[in-house]
Amino acid sequence: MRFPRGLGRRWEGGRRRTLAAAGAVTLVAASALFAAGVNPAVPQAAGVTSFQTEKAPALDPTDGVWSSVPGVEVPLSAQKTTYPFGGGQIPAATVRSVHTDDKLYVHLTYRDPTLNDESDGFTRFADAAAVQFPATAGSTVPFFCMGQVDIGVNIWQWRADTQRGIPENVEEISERGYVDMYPSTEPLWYSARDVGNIMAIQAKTPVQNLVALGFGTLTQADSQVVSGKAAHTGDEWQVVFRRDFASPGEGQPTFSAGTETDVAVAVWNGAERERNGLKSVSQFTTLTIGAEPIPPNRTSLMFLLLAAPFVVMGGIALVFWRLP
Amino acid sequence: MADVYNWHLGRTMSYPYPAGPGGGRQFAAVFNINRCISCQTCSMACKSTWTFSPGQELMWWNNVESKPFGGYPLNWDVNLLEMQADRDPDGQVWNPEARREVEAPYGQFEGKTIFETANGKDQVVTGYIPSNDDWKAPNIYEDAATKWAKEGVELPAHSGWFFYLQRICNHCTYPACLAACPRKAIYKREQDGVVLIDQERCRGYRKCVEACPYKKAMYRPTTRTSEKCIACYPRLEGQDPLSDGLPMETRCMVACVGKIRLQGLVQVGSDGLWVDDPRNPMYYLVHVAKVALPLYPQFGTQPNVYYIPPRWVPREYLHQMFGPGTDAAIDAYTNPSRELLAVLQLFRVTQKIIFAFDIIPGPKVADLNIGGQKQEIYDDTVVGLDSQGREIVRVPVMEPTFQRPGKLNSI
Ligand code: SF4
Ligand code: SF4
Ligand code: SF4
Repeated sequence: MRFPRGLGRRWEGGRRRTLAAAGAVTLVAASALFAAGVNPAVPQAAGVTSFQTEKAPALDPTDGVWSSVPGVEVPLSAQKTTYPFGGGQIPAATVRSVHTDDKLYVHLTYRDPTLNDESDGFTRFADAAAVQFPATAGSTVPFFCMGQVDIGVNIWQWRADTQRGIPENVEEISERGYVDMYPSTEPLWYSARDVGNIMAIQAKTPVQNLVALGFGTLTQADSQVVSGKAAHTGDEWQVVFRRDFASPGEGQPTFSAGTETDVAVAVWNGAERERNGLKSVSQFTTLTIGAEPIPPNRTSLMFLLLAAPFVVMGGIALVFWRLP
Repeated sequence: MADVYNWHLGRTMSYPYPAGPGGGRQFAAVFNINRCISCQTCSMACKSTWTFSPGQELMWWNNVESKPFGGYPLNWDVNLLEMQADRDPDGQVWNPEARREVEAPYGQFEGKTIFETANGKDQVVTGYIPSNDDWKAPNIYEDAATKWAKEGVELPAHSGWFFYLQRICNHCTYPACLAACPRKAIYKREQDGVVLIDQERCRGYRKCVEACPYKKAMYRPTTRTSEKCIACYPRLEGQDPLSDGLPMETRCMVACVGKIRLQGLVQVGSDGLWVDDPRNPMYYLVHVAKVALPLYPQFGTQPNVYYIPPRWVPREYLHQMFGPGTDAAIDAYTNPSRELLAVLQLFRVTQKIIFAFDIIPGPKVADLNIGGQKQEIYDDTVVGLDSQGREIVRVPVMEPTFQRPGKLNSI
């Protein structure tokens, strides 16, 4: 099964023109948008642009830069392609992206009122969110669910439990838990840790770098080089991902300014015991690593809008004042 | 879904993967419930070997629980029986008339298995994940009988009763844990049928915990993966220096104080049935003497630990737990044949796996009357042979006794 990239591309073309026009935006148009209550930060068309920025944002999803970056709302739906079916409770995620000369940043915002950041009990599952790219940037778009045998995908999965850290003693795991002593706590006795499973280690980054060639093939990449961080504010998660443009290894794309590729999103709601295929997923949408700078943000536009009449009136007053 | 033949059920059933090619060996064990004293030496043998580290506190790959009230995790079996009854109303019944040697020794199960009642969407196996609290008290209701029988009890069924149930992973022929893992991180080894969770591939989804009807796949929060009984596979492989490279029984087996456990390896044919081998103690106890039965065969995983049912427990309860073979098994155990009596002596007399036995006839030593039935006891000798056909153990039916000279009154 293959999903043609046509649809995404067409939308992306449309969005290009919108952006070109945006360069010549007039105060009148902006005022009209504000008057209509439409947030220009969330274009309604699919297709994500990664804006150029000189100043690298902090590895913090609440960094001020993100409020200026237009986001694209990507619809999510239940995963119904393969066992185990599930998800669908988180209807959408807003995707934003910026890049510096050598790093790509992707930012997600989605609604999830329940914070689940531990997986220490049998029935506890953590919130998670992932972005997925074709293994080769700009290649034929692989199947959006975990790729396919001949076209792989690279998945960056942020996990709330990994961000929180692995519990190391029984008191952390179990209320009223108590153990006199452990005969050995050598890594050998943590089999998964001993064989290098990234689930089992106290990871340096809460984002796992994974590759897949179809269902059930998800495998950790050799280099865990995707950084990231998430913050739960109010009833939303905001997650930021960061990786160098250069590919860290096989099955992982190289990015550069001008790259046109695709990105898909998945989110897991821990409160609903979502994990694995039980998730809300999007289709692939285009990601363009463009040359445009981040547009002036809404606050500055608002300031301009409010200031403009005074400037104009001031000008007129000045002219009248200077008139003999 | 594929069609596979489950001889416990005497029929084909649906399973997510086709049956293997056969031709390998299968780990199997017989537990004689009648003899267990719940000393938990087996549980400690396993724990002190494999599960003594942080994150494994709630984990007992081997546990011994009291029935009918106990359960580790709490109510694991009644919970699933209830789910099965809800999804297959009035369907969970057997037809014992359809009994056939080896292929269908217990007749035919007419209900649906846990694979057949699943919705196929979020579950391919009917099951649930027990909560942390369910795992916390492995011996709750220990020794709790159904009632205090003031008047005393007598066979065939005690009016106040309980019994111990010894449980490890069954290294099932059709493992539910394996069926449910979306990552195919669980595999069943060709050489001995041992079912393992690949600790490199597991991502802690706990679909195996949800699916295992016996609740023998367990989650470990310090590695965020699931772990389970590994059948002490280094011992099965003969890696323990004590066994000179020969297959050796697992830790929980050899530690058994009550001598209730015997473990072996059986040969499986390409048809999925046990290859005819009446000199193998496992084959003999299960297929010839029919004294040992699978636990909840109706779940459909074709488990490989077999139980000699407790004689004193009301039959209805045992029928649900061990299927329609129960009455014959209890009869065989109560009045053992000359051969069975000899084979029962092989329990816990060697650490090496016994692949075959021979019986050397001995003299008649007693005439007994058991439950109104006459029984002749012979002091035969049973000889256990290793995988190479060499003698590893020799035991008489009558335990040798020695009398101290009367004038020595101290030890
Ligand atoms: S060691 Fe043997 S007798 Fe003791 S509890 Fe375990 S199975 Fe029962
Ligand atoms: S008993 Fe459970 S864990 Fe063991 S093989 Fe069977 S289904 Fe899997
Ligand atoms: S077979 Fe080994 S790993 Fe399994 S319960 Fe027994 S001692 Fe533990």
